[in-house]
Amino acid sequence: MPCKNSISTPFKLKELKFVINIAWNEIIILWRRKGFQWLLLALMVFTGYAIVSGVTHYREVHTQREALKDSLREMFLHQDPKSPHMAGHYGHIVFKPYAILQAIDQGVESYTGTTIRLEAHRQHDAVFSPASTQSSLIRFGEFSFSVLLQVVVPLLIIFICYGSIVTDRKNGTLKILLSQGASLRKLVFSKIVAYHTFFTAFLVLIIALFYLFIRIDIGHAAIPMVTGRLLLIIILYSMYYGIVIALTIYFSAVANSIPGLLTSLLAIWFIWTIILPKLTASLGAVSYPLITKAQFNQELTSLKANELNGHDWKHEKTKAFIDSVLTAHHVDSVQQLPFRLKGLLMQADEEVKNRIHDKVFSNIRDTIRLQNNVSSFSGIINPFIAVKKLSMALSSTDVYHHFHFLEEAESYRRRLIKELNDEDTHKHSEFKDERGRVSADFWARIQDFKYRPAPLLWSLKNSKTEIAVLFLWLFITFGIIYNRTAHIRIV
Amino acid sequence: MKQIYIIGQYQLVRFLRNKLMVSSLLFFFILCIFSLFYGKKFVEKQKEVIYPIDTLSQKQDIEAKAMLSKPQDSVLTEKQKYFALTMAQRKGNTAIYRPTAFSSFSIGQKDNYPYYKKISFGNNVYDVEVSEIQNPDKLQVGNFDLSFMFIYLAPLFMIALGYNALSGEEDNNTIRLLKMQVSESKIIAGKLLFLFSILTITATVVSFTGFYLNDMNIHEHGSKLIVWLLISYSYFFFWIGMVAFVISFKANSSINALVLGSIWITSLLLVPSIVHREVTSSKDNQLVDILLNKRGDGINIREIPKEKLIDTMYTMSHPYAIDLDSSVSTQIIQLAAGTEIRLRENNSLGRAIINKQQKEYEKAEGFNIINPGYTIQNAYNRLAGTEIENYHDFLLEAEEYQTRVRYLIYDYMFRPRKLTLADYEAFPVFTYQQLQFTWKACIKALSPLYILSLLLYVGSGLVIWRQVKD
Repeated sequence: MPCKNSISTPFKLKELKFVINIAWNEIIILWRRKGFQWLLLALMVFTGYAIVSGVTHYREVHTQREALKDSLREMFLHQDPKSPHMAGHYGHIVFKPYAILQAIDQGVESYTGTTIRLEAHRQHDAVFSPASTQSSLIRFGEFSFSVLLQVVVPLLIIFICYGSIVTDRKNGTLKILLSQGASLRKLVFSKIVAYHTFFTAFLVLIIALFYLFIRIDIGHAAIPMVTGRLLLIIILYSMYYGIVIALTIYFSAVANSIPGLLTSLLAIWFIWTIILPKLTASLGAVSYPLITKAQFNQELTSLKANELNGHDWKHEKTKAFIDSVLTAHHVDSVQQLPFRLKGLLMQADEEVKNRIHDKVFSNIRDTIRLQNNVSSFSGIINPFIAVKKLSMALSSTDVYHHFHFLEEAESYRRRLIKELNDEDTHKHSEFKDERGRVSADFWARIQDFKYRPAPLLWSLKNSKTEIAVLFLWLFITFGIIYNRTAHIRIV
Repeated sequence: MKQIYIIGQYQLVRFLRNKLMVSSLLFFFILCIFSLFYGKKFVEKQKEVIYPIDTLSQKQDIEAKAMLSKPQDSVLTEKQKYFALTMAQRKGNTAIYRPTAFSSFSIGQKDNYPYYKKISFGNNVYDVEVSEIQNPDKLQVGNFDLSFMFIYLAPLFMIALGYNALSGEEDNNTIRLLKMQVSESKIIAGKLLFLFSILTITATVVSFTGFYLNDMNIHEHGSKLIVWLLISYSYFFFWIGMVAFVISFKANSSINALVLGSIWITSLLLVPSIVHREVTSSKDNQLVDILLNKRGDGINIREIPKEKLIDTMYTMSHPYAIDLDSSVSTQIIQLAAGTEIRLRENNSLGRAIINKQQKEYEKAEGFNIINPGYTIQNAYNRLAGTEIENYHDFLLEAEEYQTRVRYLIYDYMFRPRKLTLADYEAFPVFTYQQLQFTWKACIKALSPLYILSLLLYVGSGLVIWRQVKD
């Protein structure tokens, strides 16, 4: 039987008071439930563990990487005297800094390399992905805040909210409540407000705790980098919880059977959280297959074969390059040049190879982006995916942040090799000995690699689809509730 | 027993009448079939990568044999010596960690570990390298294989079908009628036996489908299929025990669903991820050492005095006999000593990392009594050859192979002679035999799960007994 009192009227102050009263009542009832107290206690224990273990893990890995970074810098500064060209082959080794927000969301960090050897002529892969040194236990996921926020809390919301209206209907209290003049819509919204307020308050509390913990444990330096991101993380999860709470309460208002409702909600949660992310990622991988490493190497080799080769002076393109240099300087032989041709040639070789690498590597990135788009667009039927991806983006731990690190490391490699090639080009230099080997002073001039994390706006730009999808879900969910609650039977 | 059987039959009729449940089972079955195709595709992709490596190896083998079949000069030139060394190394010069027939059922960590390694006279078997280009997002999400279906989805199916085994009858007011004819324990046993049967039948059908889909034959893989089914049945048995334990408290349907849902999330998401966090540590320091050695920052052989280098070759222990008499050139001994020092350093670093990983792996196994999901995943992976211990075994085998070939080449270097076709053919080829995972090893690996299951069944029996007594 449709609710007679459900003719839509805009919320007035009186009605707002009603909503607040109902919401407040709901929170008090919730607070008095013993089952809820136990669940909350368990959640608090897990949260405490997530904060402490996350920050401890951060401290361990961060300290280790910083120490390695320092010792590698020392090795770079005190390397044996060698020619700039040999120094290019010796290169440098750089590390991906362990971001503090990994304690919130580990993202793909365990599946990406953390260390890169930077060398002349070739771009090495980032190696030492933690997952490649671990057993299949890692595939069950890594415990962090995100597991709690994305997986456990929504489940808790279902457990707490599923009976909010259906129980009232079964007990007959819904009819009594609505006979006092309230509409079902107002009741539904009041309950949404109550539960949402509670879970957002919980969210703010735990993020504040985390913030406090890093402030005390890690220091003030980390604060400016994380404040904006943490605020957005609160907003993100608050929106997600809004959707989950609203849907749970709406289904509770629609449902006939309590156990049936609960199993259906659990099934939705499972499909959203476990099945669809795997299914869509698998579909993406099947739809847009990545080239194999052998194909990648073959493509690089075939493209390089037709280009200038700094190590092969007989190569046609190399000969043409040398001729052009000689012509430009109006000389007949390499010896007559005012500089060492080798350095110039190596830099030209480097630039050619960089161009080829960029081309082949950008194809791979495009394929990965296409693969990921499949799951991004699946956010239309699964808001969890949008939240998961946005959470990684805000924690700087998604695949695009990894690419950002690779780009930064690569541009440092290019700067380093250019400096070495430029030095190699000089016939005489204050940094070279009589055998053309560079001195320690030269290395001190070269700044160490310092990764500048991507700014917040950059992170958000890569997640436009997810942001749009999340707002769409909010709009549709509340739109449905606003329009459909009038048609829900009361008894 | 007859009553339990009748209840099971009654449950089957009820199940078949419930469209939602039948479609859920159908959905589960379809997803299982999808997972089989997914696994097959994964294995085919790895085989696609391996195929050109095998082809190249065969081509090089044919070329080497053809060259060695040609008449050679009796005087051994430096070029010929080099040629002989190259030829010998060409034989099976890539160690391949092939996917097994069951890898498509349980991909495990197979997508995370390098699965082919170049083996040469002096390269580092433990070298850190990325063997395939991967999408980290995809790796993080994991694989949609059959083991995932059985480990995650099957328990949910059991929960959905079993949570109201008793309370459902109470909700329908049929419990009194039933209790007049049979005891509560028999109602639970009959219903859960039906549940167990329906899942084992589905799992068996799906596993046999995968068996034929992957062109496995009964003689070669039959015993493995039995072990696979043993693991699956054991897991279902555990979850049936869990459902029996929870419903034996006779709470209402919603409480049962809530408790079982919480147990599911705790055992499959929270416990494994917390255990993982507790047992693993960063290995960056050791790994960087390998990278530094590769760059040339390790032992500098050129800095070691010539005499000391030669002495080392005489004093170090050798895994294979070598004959270093005065006729052997000191230059050759120096080369061999340099190679040995460098490789032994690399190998000891590599093995140190393996040992550390092994300790973490064993530490994680120590938690198996509270980690049923991982216990099963680990058993599936060991059967499929996709667990870390399989990868370690592959690396150690590769090192052993390299050492054997190296010492054969030393023998050739120390006693220069023509490399004949027969010599070449006597050189070993790397053929990796996967670690066996027998039913005995399986039962041992699953023992924590059996203990847990036993506790659950005894626990539920005790709860019901107390209720009857009261």
